[in-house]
Amino acid sequence: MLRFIVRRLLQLIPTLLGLSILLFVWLQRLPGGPENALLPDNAPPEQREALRESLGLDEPFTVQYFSFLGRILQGDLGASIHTGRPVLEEFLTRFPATFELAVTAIVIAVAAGLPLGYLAARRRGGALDFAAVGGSLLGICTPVFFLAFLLKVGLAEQLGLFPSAFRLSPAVNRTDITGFFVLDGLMTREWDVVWDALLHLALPGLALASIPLAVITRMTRASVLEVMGEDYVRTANAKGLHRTTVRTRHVLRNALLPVVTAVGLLSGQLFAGAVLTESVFAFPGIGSFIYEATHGRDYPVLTGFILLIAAMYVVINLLVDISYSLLDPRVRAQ
Amino acid sequence: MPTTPSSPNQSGVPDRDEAAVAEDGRVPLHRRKAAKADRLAELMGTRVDEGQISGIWIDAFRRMRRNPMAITGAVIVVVFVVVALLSPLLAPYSPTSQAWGSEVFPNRNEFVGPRAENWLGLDHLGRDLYSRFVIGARQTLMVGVVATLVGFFFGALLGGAAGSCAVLGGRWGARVDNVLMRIIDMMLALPTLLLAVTVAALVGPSLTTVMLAVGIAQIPIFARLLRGAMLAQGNRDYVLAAQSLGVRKRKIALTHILPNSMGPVIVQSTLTLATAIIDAAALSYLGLGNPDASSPEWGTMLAEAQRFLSTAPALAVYPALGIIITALGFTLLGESLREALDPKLRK
Amino acid sequence: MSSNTPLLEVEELSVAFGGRGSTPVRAVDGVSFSLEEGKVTGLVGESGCGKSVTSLALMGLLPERGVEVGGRAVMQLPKGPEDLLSLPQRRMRDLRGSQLAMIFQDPLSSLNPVVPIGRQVTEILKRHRGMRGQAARKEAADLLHRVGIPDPARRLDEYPHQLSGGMRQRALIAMAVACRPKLMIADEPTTALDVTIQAQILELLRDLVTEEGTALLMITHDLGVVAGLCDDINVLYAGRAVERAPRRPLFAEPTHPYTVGLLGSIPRLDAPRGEPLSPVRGSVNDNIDWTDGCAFAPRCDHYTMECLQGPPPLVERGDRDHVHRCVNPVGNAGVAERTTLETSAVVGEEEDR
Repeated sequence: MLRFIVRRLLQLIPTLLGLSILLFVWLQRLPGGPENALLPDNAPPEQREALRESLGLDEPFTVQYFSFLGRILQGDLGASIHTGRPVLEEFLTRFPATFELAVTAIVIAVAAGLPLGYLAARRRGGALDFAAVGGSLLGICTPVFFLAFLLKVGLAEQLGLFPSAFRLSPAVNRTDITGFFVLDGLMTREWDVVWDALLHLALPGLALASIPLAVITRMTRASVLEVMGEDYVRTANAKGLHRTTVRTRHVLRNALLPVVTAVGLLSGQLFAGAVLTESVFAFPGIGSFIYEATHGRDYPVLTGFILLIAAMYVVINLLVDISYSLLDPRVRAQ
Repeated sequence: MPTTPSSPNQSGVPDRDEAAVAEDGRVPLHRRKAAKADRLAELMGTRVDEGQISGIWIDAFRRMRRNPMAITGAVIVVVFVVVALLSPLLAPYSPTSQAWGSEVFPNRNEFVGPRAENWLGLDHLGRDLYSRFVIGARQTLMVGVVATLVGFFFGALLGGAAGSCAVLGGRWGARVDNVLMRIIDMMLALPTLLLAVTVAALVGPSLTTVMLAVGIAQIPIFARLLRGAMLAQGNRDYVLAAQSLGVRKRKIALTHILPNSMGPVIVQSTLTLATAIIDAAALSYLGLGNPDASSPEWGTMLAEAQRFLSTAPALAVYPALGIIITALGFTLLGESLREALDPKLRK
Repeated sequence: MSSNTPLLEVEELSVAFGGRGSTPVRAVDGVSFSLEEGKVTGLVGESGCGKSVTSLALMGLLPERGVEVGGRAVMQLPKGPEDLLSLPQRRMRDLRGSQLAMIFQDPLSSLNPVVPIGRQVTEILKRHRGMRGQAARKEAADLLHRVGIPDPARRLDEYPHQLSGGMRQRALIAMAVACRPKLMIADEPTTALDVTIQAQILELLRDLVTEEGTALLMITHDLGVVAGLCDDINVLYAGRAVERAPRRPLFAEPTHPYTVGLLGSIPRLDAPRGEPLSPVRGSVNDNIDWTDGCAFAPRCDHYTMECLQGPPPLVERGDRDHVHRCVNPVGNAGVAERTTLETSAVVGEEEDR
């Protein structure tokens, strides 16, 4: 098991290296290049040339890449053009917000999607099945930002059930320990902070959960249906086991294997997908910062954030693979 | 005639034989034999008819024709495409004409709803909503199709190359495949939306940017799918048979493996049309879409209308419904096509 | 050798799969037979003739929706005789695994891939014999040992994919015999196995029958298996029994053309070299409806006009034990001297399921 993990960790290195090259080429070689992003369109050529030189853009490609890589390895992703603060610092201060949001979304998606998909499969062709399949199709086809807007206008602004923006109400005082508001609140026993933070997470979490929820429901349903037709489920029934034993140990245990993978991949995508939701709810996380960076053409922020998010995605994939191998003995054997 | 065992004749048994059977015992042996063979053929004929051999695509089409999901999807898609293609004829006014600009005051919450000359009412600048909606369908269709084509073309190129190398290339092929797959994996790790956002941000907002950004994001998905399908086909016996007959490798890959692997890719293209439309809307919402007001696109319309969601929800509802229903149509079509092609679900 | 009332008396069992709107398909159509303790009864036929559906119907394992089961299957249970087909699901669950057990065809797909073998054996001990913890584990190891799995204590923690095909089938048999059921149904238990393993598994089954006095219903398309194991044989065609006889008369004097064809299609070692095999021509799909006549007629060499006039009845042939469903049965000549077939001869038709 340990060897498996070490081997997978070693495999990460070329992937991450490749990612950095890909991203470097991607961003440096786009029409115009970074100097265009920094300068107004009508900048004189001399100014442009001077900037290219100061950015090291006149040097050969490989030299540029290796100095880029060297800086990354030292943890230096450059500084934001707008705030002037180091990119890594900007990322870390915003990470807890997005993390809390992503966890909320995944919890909602799993808690609702698994039972829904399972029950839909059990009562195939019934009203619940129809609703689950139809609902998940609708969930996949609704633009997230529109759903977020509907929730915000409907539940927050019109009905006033939830706060419509930010992570915390201004009136609530909190002690900062980790930057994770819910966690901090639990640690300091400031229950009002926990409650208020959760209320702020509810709507963006729900909006962000829409696609994972739809995907998990559909996958669970398909997977359970497939497993229910397997020979070993018939064997379990032939052994006269109780219905619940058959359903948990034999059906669910197997049916959830592909769902675990899907949950992992989806949570990897959530960090990126939060751009839309966060900007609708003015949620001060990674996503809304990327949104601002896009409009301000804050090139170091974009490069750094995307690289970090991609790295996170790769690491989450690794965790998924490891947990999968713990669940499925057939994979472990290899 | 009525005494014979053969009932009213449907299976093309000649009439004179029936007459011969009528005399039963006295007919010569070979006649009796023919009679019983005919009777047998008749009895079997009533049950064998259906289930003749046909291609998997024809088969899939037949199955889809009976599937309400597929029919719904097809109807939506056909209506959408027809509206999009004929939109210049269907739109009564120019989408940019602010002819009724003096009747709408967004800051005073004065909007104009549906009426005789403006079927869907006016937007916040006093433009005819119906005309913009219909013209928007055209733009949306174009974005979806072009983005899907970009993803399909480059993805299939990459995946096809990797797949044929892996199946037929021997040791070197396996290496090439490995390198290509690593690249595809890395592209998968780059978050699609963010990728699109960066492209759009750096190149500047335009319709081309949106189409390219959304299309590029789909490349690794197509590549993986095609490669996977080709690997599965490559292990089949018919490939081995073709190889042992001395068919050239390139020919095997192009004429045997590739056509048989296209099923999942075509399904994915249908689904991608839906994703592309939604993603394009997201980019428009982020302000990276088409800034040109003369060719409105549903995503842009929706993004603009968000501001008035609480006062004039209709402005947002029409483009939103357009996007959702169209995406639903492509998704339904794609999903039912996938089901129809799935050998596991076929009996 | 056996008691006077049979352990299981199946009367006019019929199973119809009905799609909505479409006419229901009769997979099994009025099949009757009986099983006695300590005896092996064979159910023989090509794939698609309704053998497996028969066994699933007896076990109550057919899907609840879209299936219609008719007839009776009276089994002598400790609390008196009861009709298996009319018992409620809950009661059937109590009986399955304890009173009647089943062994399936494909041992790999019939075992849960993510649960250790030991757990899959102990769960049945826990369910029906109330055993827990170490006691159950020890009993499971004993069971594995009994069915011939070496080093059973270690195997308990292994997963199905770590076992060989023969071992997997042995493990499945261990689960079937775990509660000493009175009745076992084996659905093609050797089809997925190597020839040498096949013989071992059959021997194991025979030993279990003689030692425990279990009644075994053997479902197979392999006449070699039938000859080596079964006491009574039912030949099925298109959902109906076409011939029923004890082993010796069936092999010595088969009367239904289908039985004759099956026997004739076994490759013989003593046949002259180069002599072509004589398969039963056509396939199961070439049949006609039983209500119109004999379903086998399209593949039969000597069908007559009488064969096509209504359903042929099941008739006794001389002695009471030997019955067939044929209006123009084959004479005794030609296929005699076939009584001493041994195991592992393979019938030349493919199993395409």
